[in-house]
Amino acid sequence: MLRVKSLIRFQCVSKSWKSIIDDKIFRKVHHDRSKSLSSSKKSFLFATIDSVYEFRPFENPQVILVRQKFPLKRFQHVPTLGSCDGMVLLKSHLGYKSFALWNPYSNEYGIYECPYVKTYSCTTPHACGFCYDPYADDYKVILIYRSFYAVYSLIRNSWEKKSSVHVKELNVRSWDCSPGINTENRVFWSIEWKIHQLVGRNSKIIYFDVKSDELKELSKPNFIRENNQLYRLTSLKGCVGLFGGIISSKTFDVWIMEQHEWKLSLTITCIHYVLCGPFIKNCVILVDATNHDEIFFHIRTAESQYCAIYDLERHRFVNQINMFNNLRCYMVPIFSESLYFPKIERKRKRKRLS
Amino acid sequence: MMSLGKLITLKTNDNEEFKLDKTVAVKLEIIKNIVQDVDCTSNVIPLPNIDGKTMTKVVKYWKKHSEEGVTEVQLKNFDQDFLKMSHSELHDVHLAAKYLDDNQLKEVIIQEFLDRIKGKPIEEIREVFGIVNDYTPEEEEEVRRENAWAFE
Repeated sequence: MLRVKSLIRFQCVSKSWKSIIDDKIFRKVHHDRSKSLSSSKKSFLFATIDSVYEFRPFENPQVILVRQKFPLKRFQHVPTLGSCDGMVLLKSHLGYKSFALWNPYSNEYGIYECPYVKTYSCTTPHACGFCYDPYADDYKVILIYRSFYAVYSLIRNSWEKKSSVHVKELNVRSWDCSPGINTENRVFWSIEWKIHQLVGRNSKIIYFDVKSDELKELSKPNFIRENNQLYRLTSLKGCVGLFGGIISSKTFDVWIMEQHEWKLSLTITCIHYVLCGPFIKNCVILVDATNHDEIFFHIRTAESQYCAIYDLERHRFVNQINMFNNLRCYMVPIFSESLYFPKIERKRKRKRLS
Repeated sequence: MMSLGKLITLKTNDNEEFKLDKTVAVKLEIIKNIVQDVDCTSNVIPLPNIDGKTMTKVVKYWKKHSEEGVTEVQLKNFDQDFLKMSHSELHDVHLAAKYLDDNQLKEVIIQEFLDRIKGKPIEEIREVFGIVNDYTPEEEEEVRRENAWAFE
């Protein structure tokens, strides 16, 4: 398997090498292979500081491998809302219906507008998701609004407006667009009166079923039954997971859903003697099992943000990395590198970072 | 009759013959199909796209990899030696593996090619593989500038 960086460099060898590497079928094959080889699951961290996006390796997050700038101004300074197979979902701050998909390696992107939102309604989606559809070899973006949700198929370049009982429960106007947890080709959210990733006694877990394009409910595990418990949805070992526990406890549990059953994977003592409740509120799992058996946490509080690495063999946090001078930066894990971007017939400019 | 014979003969385009144990040969999809489809009472399978020199290498690889009791380490060492050949020889073996639909051999050779170009400067790749640079200096500069990050 050749790294993306090598491929890009090899475009200079000759025109015929460039035309091979530019070829979309070649890129697709490379993309599919890089996805299937577990060894090439790149432990790359994608941090965004101001409007520049930086690639950093998980093993050594202080190192900046590559800097890339999203070419369009209105999508700079925006939070990234998730990634799937090396592509990143971005939503502009002010826009409530347009979003961008971007392959930061090839710097190709597409801008898409949800046709079901009226210009004057100023409704931000409550939640969004981005996942791969293995049945159609397609990618889908899901935007959940107050009374409906919309599904965009990237390859087919088509939108669909759908309704769901779960969406009807959203009775407030949204200001935040909550990204879902993308795992096993599904996207998970927690829903109460709004959508987020935190799961408590009164919330429901819903997911987008890529085969039927429907929002379905995942029966909530019976270990969440008290009011004083708080969990967060995550992806672990390629499955959906929950981590959390009793909010006043100094430890939290990590559960993984394997073969339709919730299994307790481990119990972790919170870092810095923080209590479970605030820890779960401020923390996300970025990636698990990088090169070593580790879980990579990202903790963001009002005052600071840092990464903490938990060693699964030594059963403790082994490293804390303060690499952010700026509280406004975001991090998105990227698990495979590729030059692939699903082509649909539309004009796309390619610009470079100058 | 084919089914009774223990040896299969493969005949290359320069009339070199290779006698192979049937158990080794039928592992390959293409040979298996020929054995099943064609009434080759003579037990000779022609390989019009492969020459003797290349086939010698392919057969050597097959024999080693179907040896009984061969260890991973031995195979690794064997592969390392096996792959010590010129680019054009490697290319010929790749074409043969492609024709014979031997995915394992194909993979090994592609990996070897990748190892040979990985991390090498562009100039060296052109020289080693005899590729003519058909870019004008301006065009090449443009491509390099567009992808500057990959050259850092």
